[in-house]
Amino acid sequence: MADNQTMAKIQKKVISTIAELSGKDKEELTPDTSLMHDLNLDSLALFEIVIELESYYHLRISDEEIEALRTIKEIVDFIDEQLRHKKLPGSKEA
Amino acid sequence: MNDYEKKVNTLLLDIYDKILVTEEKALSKGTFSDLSVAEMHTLEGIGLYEARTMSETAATLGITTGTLTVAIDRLVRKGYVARRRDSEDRRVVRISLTKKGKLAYRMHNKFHTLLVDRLIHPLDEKQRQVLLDTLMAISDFVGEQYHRYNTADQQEE
Repeated sequence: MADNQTMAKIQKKVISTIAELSGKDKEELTPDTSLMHDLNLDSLALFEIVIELESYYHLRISDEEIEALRTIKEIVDFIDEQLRHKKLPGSKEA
Repeated sequence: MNDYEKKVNTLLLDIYDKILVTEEKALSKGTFSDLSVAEMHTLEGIGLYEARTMSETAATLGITTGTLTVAIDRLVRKGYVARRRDSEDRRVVRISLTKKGKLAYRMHNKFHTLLVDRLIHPLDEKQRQVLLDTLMAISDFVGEQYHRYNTADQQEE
């Protein structure tokens, strides 16, 4: 299990990326925010977010994995798990 | 040609034409309307992640490096592809997709996924297997013809 500090950093990055690329306020976004139902993100916006996070964390996220990610928390958990799997120490922020 | 053969011939040509036109129309109406189908397939040949050499990509696409160079020049100008010299061997040019290129790749991939999903949705497991076996047989046959004519062309050159 990742430490809270790492998770908080990932969450901060995910929220700022989604806010920037969807035009939403960061304050509106919480871990439970649903990408489809609350933010009405279309495929284009979702892919933009994924591509930015892939590039930032040096990850590969498949279309099937993207389809399974429904909330901000799920994205954060997914990135955390991938980073631990790859044994990468974290992000550029770390 | 008997009636059965005529039907197979008509269906094959119809499928080939309609897939090409559908792909073209979908592209021209979407966010990436400045891309042709051929350019989109070049992006697919480069792939999402690794920076590839020109010759690797040309081999994947089945075209010459000269033809690829012209295509890449255009894609670099449009902002879909980045080109850089290899840090270890300056003679080698590596190409990769920009964020815009990756976005176009993923959106186009989604188009194909939806197309296949809709095609197979009404089929049960048995029908799906028959479809797969038939398509594989068609692909093998067309592949053999392609290889035969391609080899003949190369020998004439």
